[in-house]
Amino acid sequence: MNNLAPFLESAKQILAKPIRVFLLIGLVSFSAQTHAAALPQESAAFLASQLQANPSKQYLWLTGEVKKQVISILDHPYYKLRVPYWQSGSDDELKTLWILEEIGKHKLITVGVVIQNQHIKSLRILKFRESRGWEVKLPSFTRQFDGIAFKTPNDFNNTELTSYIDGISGATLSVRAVTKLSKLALLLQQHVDAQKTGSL
Amino acid sequence: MNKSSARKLHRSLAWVMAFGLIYLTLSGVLLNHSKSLDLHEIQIKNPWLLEWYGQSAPVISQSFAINQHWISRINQNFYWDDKTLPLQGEIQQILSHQSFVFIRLDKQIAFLSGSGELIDLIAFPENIAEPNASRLFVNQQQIHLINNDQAWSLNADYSEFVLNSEYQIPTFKINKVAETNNNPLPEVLKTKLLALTPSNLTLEKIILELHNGYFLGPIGPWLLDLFALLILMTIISGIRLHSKK
Repeated sequence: MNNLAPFLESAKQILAKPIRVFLLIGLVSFSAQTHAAALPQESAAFLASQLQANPSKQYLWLTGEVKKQVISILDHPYYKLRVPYWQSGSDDELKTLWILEEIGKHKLITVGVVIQNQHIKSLRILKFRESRGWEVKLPSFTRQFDGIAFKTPNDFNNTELTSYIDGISGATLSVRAVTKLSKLALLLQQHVDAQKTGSL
Repeated sequence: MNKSSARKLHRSLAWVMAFGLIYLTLSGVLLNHSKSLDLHEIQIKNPWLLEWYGQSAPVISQSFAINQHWISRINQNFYWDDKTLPLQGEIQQILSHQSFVFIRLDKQIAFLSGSGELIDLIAFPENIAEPNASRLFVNQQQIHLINNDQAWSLNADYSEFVLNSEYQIPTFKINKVAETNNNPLPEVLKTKLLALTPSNLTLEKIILELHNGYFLGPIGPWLLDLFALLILMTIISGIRLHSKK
């Protein structure tokens, strides 16, 4: 409970005061273990293919300002308060992998996003549960995200991407969900980077 | 058929046709503008209509009182008081610990804040034999999961259960919290939740099926065919009356 203890002890007080909620953004819990075993097979395979062995698993709490910015991207809060991410490499080679989920029309689409230097290096649909819109799984669609970033990096309120994502006829909602998740991954990455450099 | 009978038949057919055409035109116009009218968003909760479509009306399957809050499941929807929880499955057990709440479901354990926000979903240990027969309990401020004489302890991040082979499973009876606290919801909350529970039946679907006849089942399209035949008969009788003038 070493990292969760501050959250545990002061959860009520924090939630009662907005400034403390803002400070709560800094609460990232660290774990040196690899958690691939606890992941679904497709997520574990993506993790193994994208990062070096034994990446560190960490969490970002979606509270306070982060939560508000997430809502501005998704139009609703993310369904969980804490989001896991995995990192491997160092300095310019540091890669972060996010596994995020969003509802397409009725069901969750699980997406894996690898980010390096605030640019998406790779995006993959890990689990598609809807009956329609599966075309987003095609590499021809997901390749569009390679190399894209926010137009104005480190501006937490401008989430415009550097490239336009072409839609797919008949898969509008799935395309929208995946695009939102790509923005969400970039936003969360900015927060992680800002926390590390202490600029938040 | 003499002219008088033909005229009577034509008039009768015209009346039927007029009503039928009004019905088809109105439903057609509504369907054409379904998106802008948000007909697909209007949920139908009328028990008779739900039953007609073979859908079950909202039923409170499980409800538990915990820390002055209510956790309930209505059909496949979970609620924390009147707030929706993004969970699926059946509630097997609820455990409150410090300012957190843990809900053991069929396939995972939901980890919630004391105010009912989902913090994370914790997977069952990979090698657990019978997740549904497992039990969550707290001992010395540590959360454990036991199953078939094996114990797993929740790690420091509250993210996964780690096998604890040295742990001595206590012999005391572990409370089945979910079973002991399965209480009926207060009436006010019950009414509110039943109204909130989403329905898969939409006004758009009903209008569409009224339009194409399937509302009445397989016989519906045949009735519409009959109506089309009546239109043809009206046109033919009208042409004939006109030509005999």
